[in-house]
Amino acid sequence: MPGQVIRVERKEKLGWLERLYVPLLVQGLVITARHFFRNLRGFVTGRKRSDFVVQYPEERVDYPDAFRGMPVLVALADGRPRCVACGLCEFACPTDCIHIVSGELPEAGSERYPEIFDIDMSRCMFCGLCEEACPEEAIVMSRAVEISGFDRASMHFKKEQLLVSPELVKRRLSFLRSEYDREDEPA
Amino acid sequence: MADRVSEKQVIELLRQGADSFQTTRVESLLGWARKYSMFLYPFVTACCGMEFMSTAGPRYDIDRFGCALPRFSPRQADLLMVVGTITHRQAPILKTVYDQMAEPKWVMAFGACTCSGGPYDNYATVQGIDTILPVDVYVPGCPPRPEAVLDGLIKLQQRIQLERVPADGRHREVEERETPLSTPS
Repeated sequence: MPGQVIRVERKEKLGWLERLYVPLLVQGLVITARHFFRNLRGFVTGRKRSDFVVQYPEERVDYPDAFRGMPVLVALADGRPRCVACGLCEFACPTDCIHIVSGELPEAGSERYPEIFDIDMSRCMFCGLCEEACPEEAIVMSRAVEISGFDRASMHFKKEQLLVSPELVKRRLSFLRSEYDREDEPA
Repeated sequence: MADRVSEKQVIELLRQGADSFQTTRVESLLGWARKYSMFLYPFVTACCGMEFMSTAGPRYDIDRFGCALPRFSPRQADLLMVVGTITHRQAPILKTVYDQMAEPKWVMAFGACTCSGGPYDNYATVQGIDTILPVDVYVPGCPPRPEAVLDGLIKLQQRIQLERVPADGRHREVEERETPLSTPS
């Protein structure tokens, strides 16, 4: 559809109220003062405010389901990671921040599992390619963003630090299933 | 979720150091005054600058933490925010800016490129600005959300509060933390 041209009539002649200048100045001050007192009341009584600011440590915005924060490992019911250490995420990672060493679980019919699963968050670029590559829905992007630290070692996350229960990333998992037309549970 | 002991250990070490020195009310007052009146120097080189603007803008409003006024002169700045990829060509400029800042000064590595080089693991990029200057707080992310930046700032403020003034007035162990400038050979 071609764009429509909209003609806007701009008022160029000033009325007598505008030419007086002072009433409009007062009008602006009234608007500013109204916002100030409404927000002041909101802060004191905890009611609704009209300000735009997110008072971060106390309140925060809800990210959309497509938001990609820190990648985490989804845990099974017994606390083990769902990951089978296939290494697809390690291969897909453009920054090479994932490091996996696979091991074998003898009791479960020699099933593979990650012995070491490290993610260097100081290198991660939160692209979500690991999540896209994962056939087991084992690594998903969470909403966690506060990973700042005083040294680089504190941003090197181990397997135990990355494990979360699927309840915590439920919204992301259902988003992924609708996004990639997957079954409810991976095989 | 992720239990990180490292920064707790750092705070604990600073606290122990504070106990072993002669602590005064003046020092804690200084720390309080410093942490809420930081002038920042945004050393913006790349795309993280957009997220820096978002953090400094009215929605997240870094001014609420007293860290608002960007000074584009290193002499007047307290907090050097290194925002964006630092190439080896840019590194001497960054080092000069850091050296020109007056003590006390702090450095925030903003974004994955400054923390570790990020996706640019190549010959042209400095693999983390901590190879050329002492970094006080790292904020990873590509780019980091404003929440992450503010979280890093709050952690830095906690650390500034616990800093104590050494006898010679220097604020950090220069020999221990500074490493020589690495240039491509």
